[in-house]
Formats: sequence, C-alpha cells, structure tokens
Amino acid sequence: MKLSLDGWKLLLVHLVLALVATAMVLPFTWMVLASLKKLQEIGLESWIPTVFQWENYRDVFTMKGVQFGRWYWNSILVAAWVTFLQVFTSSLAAFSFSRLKWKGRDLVFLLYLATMMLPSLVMMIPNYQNMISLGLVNTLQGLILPSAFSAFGTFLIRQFMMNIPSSLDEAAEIDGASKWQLYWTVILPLARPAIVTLTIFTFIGNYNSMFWPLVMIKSPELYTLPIGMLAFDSSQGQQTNLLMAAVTMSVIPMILIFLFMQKQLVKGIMLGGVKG
Amino acid sequence: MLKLTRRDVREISTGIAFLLPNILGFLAFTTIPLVISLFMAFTDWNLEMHNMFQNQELRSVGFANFKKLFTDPDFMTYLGNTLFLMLGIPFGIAGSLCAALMLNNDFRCSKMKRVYGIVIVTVVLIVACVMLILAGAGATAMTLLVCGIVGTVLVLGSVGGQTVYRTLFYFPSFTAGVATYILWKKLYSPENGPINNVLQPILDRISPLAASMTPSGANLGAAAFLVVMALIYAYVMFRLILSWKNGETGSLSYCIALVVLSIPMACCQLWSTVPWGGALGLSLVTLGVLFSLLMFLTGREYKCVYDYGMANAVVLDGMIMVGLFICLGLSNVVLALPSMASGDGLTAPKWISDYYWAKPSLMIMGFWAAIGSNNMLLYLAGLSGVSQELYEAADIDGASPFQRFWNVTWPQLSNVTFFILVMSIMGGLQGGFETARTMTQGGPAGSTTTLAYYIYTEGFNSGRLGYASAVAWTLFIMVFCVTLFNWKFGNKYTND
Amino acid sequence: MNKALIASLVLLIIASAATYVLRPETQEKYPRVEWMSDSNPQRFEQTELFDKWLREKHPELAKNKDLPAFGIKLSASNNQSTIIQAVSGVAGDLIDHLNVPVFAAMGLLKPLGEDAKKQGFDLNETYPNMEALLGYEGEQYGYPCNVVVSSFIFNENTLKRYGMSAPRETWTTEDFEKFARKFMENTNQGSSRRTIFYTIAAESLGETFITINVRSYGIDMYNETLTKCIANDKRFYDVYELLYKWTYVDKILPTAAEVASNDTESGFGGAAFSHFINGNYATIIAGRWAMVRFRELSESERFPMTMTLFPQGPFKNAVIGTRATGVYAGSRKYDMAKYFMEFLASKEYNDYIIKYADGLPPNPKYAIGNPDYLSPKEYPNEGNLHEKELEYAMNYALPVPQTPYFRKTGTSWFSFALSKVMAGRATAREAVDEAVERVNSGIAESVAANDNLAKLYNRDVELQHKIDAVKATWKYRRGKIISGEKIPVNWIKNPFYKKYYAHLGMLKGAE
Repeated sequence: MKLSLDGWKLLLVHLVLALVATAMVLPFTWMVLASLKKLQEIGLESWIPTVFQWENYRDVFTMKGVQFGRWYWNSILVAAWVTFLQVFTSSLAAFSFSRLKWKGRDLVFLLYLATMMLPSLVMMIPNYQNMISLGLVNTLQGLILPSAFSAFGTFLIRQFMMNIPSSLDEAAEIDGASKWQLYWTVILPLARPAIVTLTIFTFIGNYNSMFWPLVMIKSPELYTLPIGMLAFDSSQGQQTNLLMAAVTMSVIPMILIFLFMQKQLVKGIMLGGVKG
Repeated sequence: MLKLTRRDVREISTGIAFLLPNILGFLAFTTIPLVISLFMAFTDWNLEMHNMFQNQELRSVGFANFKKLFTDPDFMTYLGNTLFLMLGIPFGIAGSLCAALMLNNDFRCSKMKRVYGIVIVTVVLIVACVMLILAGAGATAMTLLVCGIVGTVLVLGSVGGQTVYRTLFYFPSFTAGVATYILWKKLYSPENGPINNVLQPILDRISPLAASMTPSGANLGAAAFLVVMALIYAYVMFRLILSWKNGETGSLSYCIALVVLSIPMACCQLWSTVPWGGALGLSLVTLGVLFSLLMFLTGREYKCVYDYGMANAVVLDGMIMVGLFICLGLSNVVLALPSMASGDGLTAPKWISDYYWAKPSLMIMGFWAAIGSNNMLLYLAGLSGVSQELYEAADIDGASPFQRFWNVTWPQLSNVTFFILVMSIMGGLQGGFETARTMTQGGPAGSTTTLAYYIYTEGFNSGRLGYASAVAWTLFIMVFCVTLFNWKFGNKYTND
Repeated sequence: MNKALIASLVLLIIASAATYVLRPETQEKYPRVEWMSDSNPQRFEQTELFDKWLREKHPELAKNKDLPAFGIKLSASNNQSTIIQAVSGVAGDLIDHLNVPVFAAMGLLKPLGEDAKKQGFDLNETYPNMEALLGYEGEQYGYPCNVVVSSFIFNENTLKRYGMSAPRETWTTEDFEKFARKFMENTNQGSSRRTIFYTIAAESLGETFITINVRSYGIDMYNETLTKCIANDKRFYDVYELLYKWTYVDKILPTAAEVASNDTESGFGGAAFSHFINGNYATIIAGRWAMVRFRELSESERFPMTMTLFPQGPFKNAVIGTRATGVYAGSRKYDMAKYFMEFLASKEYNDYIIKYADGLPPNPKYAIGNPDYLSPKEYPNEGNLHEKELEYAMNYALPVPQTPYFRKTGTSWFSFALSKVMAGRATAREAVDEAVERVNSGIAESVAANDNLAKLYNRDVELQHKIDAVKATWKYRRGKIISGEKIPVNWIKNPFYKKYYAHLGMLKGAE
C-alpha cells in the first residue's frame, strides 16, 4: 500500500529525496567531469574543466601498456559466455526440478541448494589447482567455465517455473510432445521473466568480477576490465583524468543495461529475494 | 530397501539427463574443489615446496593449521577488522528502510498539481541559490553545479515520481565494482581529493574556535557526551525491561540486546580518555545486569516465546551500539580538540591512507552503496504487503506518524529485516576483498585486511595453500553458524 | 526466447572464433620471448633496442634476412601474482623485479651457470658482492637490469640559501646531527608550523639507515650463516633510539604528522621529491635513478646536487639493490632468453641506461672512466653524483640483509618495530627484541615445515658452531682483535661478514 501526503509534506519528501539522490550522483558527476579535465586541473577545487578534453577518451585507447579496447571486448565476451551457459544449464536443471517428477528429486534439490551458502572463497584455491591441471590457467576458457554453473540460477528459475500451471504439461503430453519439446517449446518461453532477470544478474556479476581473473590471467591481452583497471591504476594511476575516462567507459555498459532493464530487474529482485 | 520400478528408472534418467549439464559442471567446479579444499586444510601444502618444479612429499599435519590460526595474532586482527567493518550493516539497513519509507509515498497526482509542483520547486531552488550566495558560499560554478543537480533531480522527480528516485538510489549499488572503488580512491585522495577540498576550508574555519576552547570547556563537552551515552543506555534498558515485562520481547532477544548494548559501555574502560569514563561505563553495565537478573527473578505477567522480536532486536541494538560507540569517540575527540586545533589547526583526515580512518572510510563508502541496494527494493516490496487496515486502525487511534511506524510498519517488516540481516552478515563475513585489493592493499598496516583478503594473500601471495584453506574453512564455519541461526529462527519470520 | 538463445549462441561462437583468430600470437611473424616487467614506457624502448642489438651482434641466428630471429614481448606483470603464476607454469620466459633467492629456492629459475661465463653475463661482469642478490647456493640465476646504491643527495641551492655548504662525503652520525641542527637553526622557523626540513622522516630513512649504521659497527641483522637473527644487540637499540631522539628531541627530522600535513603531491618519486626540488628538504635518499625525475625540470629549475654516503661508524658501507632478471624454469625458450641476459651485459644496453640515468648500468665496465657517464654534458648540475654512486657501488656496497630461512611478505618486522618506537608505543629494546623473536620463530617454523630447507639449515647451523668456536679464540684489546684463528671464507654465507672479516684480516681461503 502507499501513503498519500498533502502538498507541503510531499514537497518536503521530494526535497529530502532529491538531496539524497544528489549525494548518490555526485561521485559520478565528479568522475565524468574529472575525465574531461587536463591533468593539471585535477586537484583544483572547481570540478568544472576550463576546456573539455574529449581527447582523453581517445588517449585511453592509445596509451602504451593499456589495451583498453581488448579488455573491454574480453570482459563482454566472457560475461556473455558465462551468462549464456548459466541460463541454458540452469533452465534445464530448473525444468527437471520443477516440471518433471522423479524419485529423489526433492532430496537432490535440497542438497543442491545447500551448496549455495558455501563461501566461494573456499573453492577458489582448489579450483585454481584444477585449472592448472586442466591447462586452463591464463585462458579465457578458464574464466568462463568455473562460473558457468550456478545453483542460484537454477533456484531462481525453478521458483518461477513452479508457478506455471501444470495443465500446460498435460496438454502437451496429450499432443504427444517429448519432454525436450515440452521444455523447449512450452516452458522455456513462459519462463522468460525469470530468464531475463538471471541474464542481467549474471552478466553484471561477471562483468564486475575481479577475484578469479586476478589469479587466473597473466597476459595483458587477456585481461578483463576489472583487472585491467587495477593494472591501469597501479601503473599510470597518477593520470587521474585518463583513469577517470576509463572508469567512466567501464561503467557505461552497466548504466545502459540498468536503464533498459530496470523494470525486469526490480521484478527479478522481488522474485529471487537476493542478488546472486 | 528402496524398490524402483521400470517407470521410476525411466523418470529418474530423464530427470537426471536434464540436470546433467549443470550437475557435471557443478561437480567439477564446486563439489570436487570443496573436498580437495577440506583435505588441503589438514596438510602443509605450500607452493614453495609443492609446485611444478619441486615435488616434496605432502605431509598431513592434522589440526596444526587450525591451531596456528588461533595463536596467530594476524588472524585475530583480521577477524577483528572484518567484524569492525560489519558494524556498518545496521546503518546500511536503516538507510535502506528510510529510503523505502520515503519512496513509499504516493507521488501520483493530477497534471495541474504537477505543474504547480514544478513551479514551487523552481521558486524554492532560486531562493536556495540566492540564500547560498548571500551566505557567502559565493556564486561559484561549484555552487551552481550542485544546485543545478539538485534542481534537475527535483524536477525529474516531480515528473517521474518514485521511478526516478529509485533509479538514482539504486545506481551506486548496481555499478559497485572495481571501477567505482577506483573512483572512491580518488575521491578520498588526502591531497586535493574533492572530499578534502570541501572539508579543509570548513575545518580551517572551525580551527580557531576549537583552539580557543578552554580545557574546562573541553572537559565539559567530553563529559556531556559520556552523559548522553549513559542516558541512552539507561533509557534503552528501561524500554527493554518494560517490553519484556509486557511480553513484547522474548528472553533470548532480551539477553542478546543486553550483551550488544553493554559492549560499548564496557569499552569505556579501555578507550575513554575521561578519567571517570571507565568507572561510569562499568557501573552502568553492572546495574544493567543486576536489574536484568532482578527482573528475571520476579517474572512477568504476559509471556511470549523466547526468541520473539529477534531480528528487530539485533538490528536496533546494533544501531544503538554503534551510536554509543560514536558518542564515546566524540567524547574523546572533544577532549583532545583544543590540543589538536592548536598549532597546525585541524587537518582533514587522510581517509584510506590513515590507520584509524581507513575502516570508517570504507564504511562510509559502503553506506553510500547500501542505501539504495537490493535491500531497499526488498523493503519496498515488504511495505506493499503491509495491510491498509492496520494503518486505518492506527489512524483511528490518533497515532502520530512515528507511532504508526513504530507500532505497525516496523513489526510488520520484521521478516524482511531478518532476511536482510542474515544476508548482510553472511556477505560481511566474506567481504572486503575487492575494496582491500583495489583501494588499500589491505593497509595501512593491515587495518583494512579482512579475512577474505587474508585468504587471498596467504594463498596466492605467500603460497601457503594449506593454511589459507584452513582460514577459509574457519570462515565457512562462521558463515554456517549464521545459516543455522537462520534455519532456527528464520522460518518463523519468512513463513509469516 | 528460444530464437534469442540460439542467436546468442551463434553470435558467441562467431565472436569467440574471431577473438581466437585475431589473438596477438597469430599476428607475429617471428617468435617472441616474453619478458615480464612493469609497463614503464622505457621498457618498450628497451625491447626495440634489443631487436637492433640482436640483428647486429648475432646475425647468424636469423633464418630469414627480413625478419629478426626472435623478439621480446613485453608483458606487464602485476608483481603480486608473479609467484603464483610461476609455480603454476604460466610465467613469462624472462622474469623481472625478481627476488632471486626466493624464486631459486622454489625451483622457479633456470641456473645460468656455464652460459653466463661463455656469453659474458656472469657475476664478474657486474658489481662486487652481488652473489646474494643474483644467486642461491652458489649458483647464478639472474642478472641485473639496473643497479642502485641509495645515498644522501643534497640540493646545494637549499644549503646555500641557509648559509651552509655541502658536508664531507664520509661522516659520522655526530657530524650528521651537528650539520642538521645548524641547518634547522638557520632556517629559523621558530615554533610555528614548520615547512622546511633537513630530510625525510625517520620511518622513511628506515631499515636502510639502520642496516648501514649497525654494520658500520660490525654487526648485522643475521649471523654469519644467516641461521639466526642477532639484532637484539645494543648497537641496534642505539640506532632506534637515535632516530627517535632526532625526531622528537632534537627535532631535526620531521615527524610523521608533519610530513603528512605538508605532502601535497604524489606520483613518481612521491612527495619527497617535490619537497626536495622546492627546497623544503635539504637532502633525500636516492640514487642516480632519481635523475629521471629531475631531468624533467626546465633548465632554469634545475639545481646543483652533491652526494654523500650515509653517516656511519668505522666500517664504511652502503646498501646495493638491483632489479634482477632471470629465466623462468618453465620457459621453453631458454636458448633465446639467454641472449637477453647477454644483452643486459652488453655495451648497447649499458649505454642506454647511462644515457637515461635509470640507475647504475648493470655492467660497471662501461661506466668506469666513461665521460658520458661520469659527467653528462647536458646536466652539469648533477655534480659528483654519478661518479660517487659508482664509487660506492664498487667499494662499499653490500646487499640488504636477507635469510633464505625466513620470508615475510609485507612490512618487515624491523620496520614495524621502528614505527612502534616512533609512535612511542614501545622502547627501542622492547620493539627490537620483539622483532628478533618474531623472525627467529619464523625461521624455526619454516625450517620445521620444509625438509629440503631443514637440510640446508642444519648444515649451516653446524658451520655456525664451527665459526663460533673459531671466534672464541679471538683476543681483543681496546675493541680491536689482536690475535686468533682465521675463518675459512666458504663457511660464511652472510655477505656482510665476508667483507667485514676480510677487512679485519680474519678471513682465510676456502677449506
């Protein structure tokens, strides 16, 4: 339910909200403005550049030792693969857990759920050893594979699939559809909201992930953005204006996804309870 | 003996077939590593001795890694850091709740009203600008910039309502990652960072005032803060006892509250620089415990289950505890203020480069991201579930807005609060890696090294995989305890 | 939904294929040796220089006239994870910024042995006393990229402004104190907020100052065989107390708080360099490498400089450091990589380092007597500093104390002890004793955990007993040894004691 307020009180609420919202936006404002400054102007009290240096953005791409374009590409490629694999395998598993009836199903599901609360830190070290023995250290595949299977995704989609009426299954069965057809033509299209949510979460989570690439990747041409930014910061970090231009550019994909997917996202959070 | 018919077998194999892609990956990258990790924790696995180029025998060391961990002063420090950083959680939750409460207002209004709204907003803005200029902030581009942003947000907000604010609020937590941490690192830059650029002129103005404060004034100020602290403690204890007597608080919740609240008072003994601060704290704690004992002995009329009000108790008490700590800190600061301000004058903190400020700096950043996080959305969802009738009943009773919140909204949200709390604690225990790695390298002098970062440095810098695994498993046990707590008490709330 | 899934799969496959086809390796026409270093712009120039050098010096290697035999691929490494990458088999062929003894003990480096002698990059081709920095257990594993001997550099303009002239080149701590006091008096800042200081804070003088000081009185952090930390000695306590006294009693060094409130700039060289340039610090600790920063100044901003040793006692010494490069044990391109080591010892590379003042050149023979090195024409303001640093490197330099039996990442216990003393949280004796205790228990722990290490350790402890027995025969008069047996040189592992006992005349040939 919502509370209704009268004029002046509403205005007051608006003012408070606007002030807080400004506090949220100010750091980003500084970021964008600083990225357009000359290096000498960075430390000044005024946030506004005297001349807008748009070439800062170009310079990020041409800097020696900073392969920004490649890092961008790697990040998106890895995140996209992880997202695809997660959505696909999770939806299959969720289908099995929600629409198929088989003995022991619920027990397996419980066990499966229990692993969700394991701190990922515990797995990191042996997973690294794993990757060494598979020869996947310092490859993009090594970044994709371990994150491609998640219990959270399965859980999210299963919760949604549970609410799809079971009459649909029966109708399909009467039509003589196989289980695969049932999954592919009936349930999967209907689970769209959950899948979109999972896509956003997974993509953003992976786009931002830092720990795993940090230990896995050695060659600069295979860096993803987070560790690329780290390297940038530690080697050329004094060039605050260029650094901020890079930061701005690395935030842009998230802003775009956020603006276009906002509604889905909010629904998804209500659905899943928590971000994975 | 489990008997499977043919049909069962067929069904199971279909079920498993669909699971297979996920389960195989899961086994390979979660289950097996988990087993290996547990095994590693009991060995002396060390990359210095066991690597591709040097293959010494792997030795089982029993519980030695765990034993070392509890005698290792570093581990205790880092555990302390992790817990310290978690003190920000209650504030984050409160922030989300406030944001959700404000966003829960009905912003829909007629077109005409909207136009009025925009007019009023514009007038208010102009007046604000004029006042700022008169007040001496100057008609600098900066003032205009900030006013401009506020104005834009206001106009957008009065047109778009809830969606606009929600979007802006949610933004920091959505983009949180290496990029924003690097941004904050620059914001916190002690020399010429934007934060200190704003702060230093203000401090320069305050300095002469602070320096002119007499020692007796400082003493008085410090004492005042301690007294405030004592009063808060006494009042909260009083309310607690009342609510226990009325059957609004369970015994377990009461005990948790007592312990949580008593921590800062006991800490007066250690940290208060006012001579009688320690004694005051201790005597209050003693009184609190005595009263509680007395109260338990006398019993009560209205009984309730022992864990009633748990989530609210933990969040509220957590907040009050941090508040008490802040009072204690302020009292110490006021006492030291004249000597700090004399000479060089007050200097702005060096934020993440300063041993004592580093953790609060990270907490401030965390708060910024936490207000509009998923928690806010969860609270919004929770609020839409609170029944209108309860509010109407409250209105009939003539309840003030605060009473309405306290007696209707807050109890109704306790299940959401509990869920958020548990999740935040779990996240907090495992957290701090990214900020430490990006912003502080765990420093200065290890003050921002959390357990997660410690595991990383032990495992991947020093190569002591066995020991690092032991730390990871200890952390896991802590998280597991929180989960158990969740299972034990969570169902009651989430199934409401 | 289904179409979207299939479409994204197709897109992903195409994108991945494109990424695979366009990966950098496929664009290379000739093999590359990977050099893990930092992303300093100079490294790129150095790889180009290598290409040129290889074509000129080893034309026989090239199979095709148009293409070089092989090149260098620079891979900027994040220093923190070098070890983990090396142990997992994916480090670059050449590793830079190396702690050779640590890497070698873990088996991560190729021994250079015979090739070093044949191709002219063995230990004789660099500065004396570098074994400890470049080798392990008598085998050479690395070669320096550049070398530094940190010393005090004075800004003569600042000195002149306050009516002083440069101090003598070798001086005692008393001279240093007197000089600093006079300087601080002349700056005449009264009791107001001070902005001009003699030099950097005690915490930054740190371990280098302490090490040089105690060594000059004949003691090191570790014993002769590096098996034990022996810093619980009056000479150590004294130097910690001295630093405290200089900061809080004599007030000739800035306090940490003063440094903090004056720092306005970070970046290459940090705030201290800016203060030095602006005349706020009369002297800083640096080496020739700092000229990279000072040469950025315009001609009118430049100032004359002069260099002195650290103030110290009777046994003159200095600390030498190096950025060492070694060949990764997992490298399949050792045959190519060793040419890079030869390059580092070559005239071309050394001339490059000499020209850009990026430290001392790795091979001193190109600096000795070379006027381009000793007095660069364009920079007359740099005074005696090139000459002096070379002289210190050849005559006084010793590596920092380090034991193979204990490795601590992060702050060393002795720096930690210093910060404790400076903050008044412990007396010098308490703080140092605690550090010694920590280091020794660290040694015990790592020896107990590692059988290979334990073998070496027991061998060295045995030697230590023998050394102690010999030392027991020494007779002293007025602090000087007058008679006693000599110690065989091969018993001693600590480079400091090797040099010190030779200086005392108590060393004899290998036994």
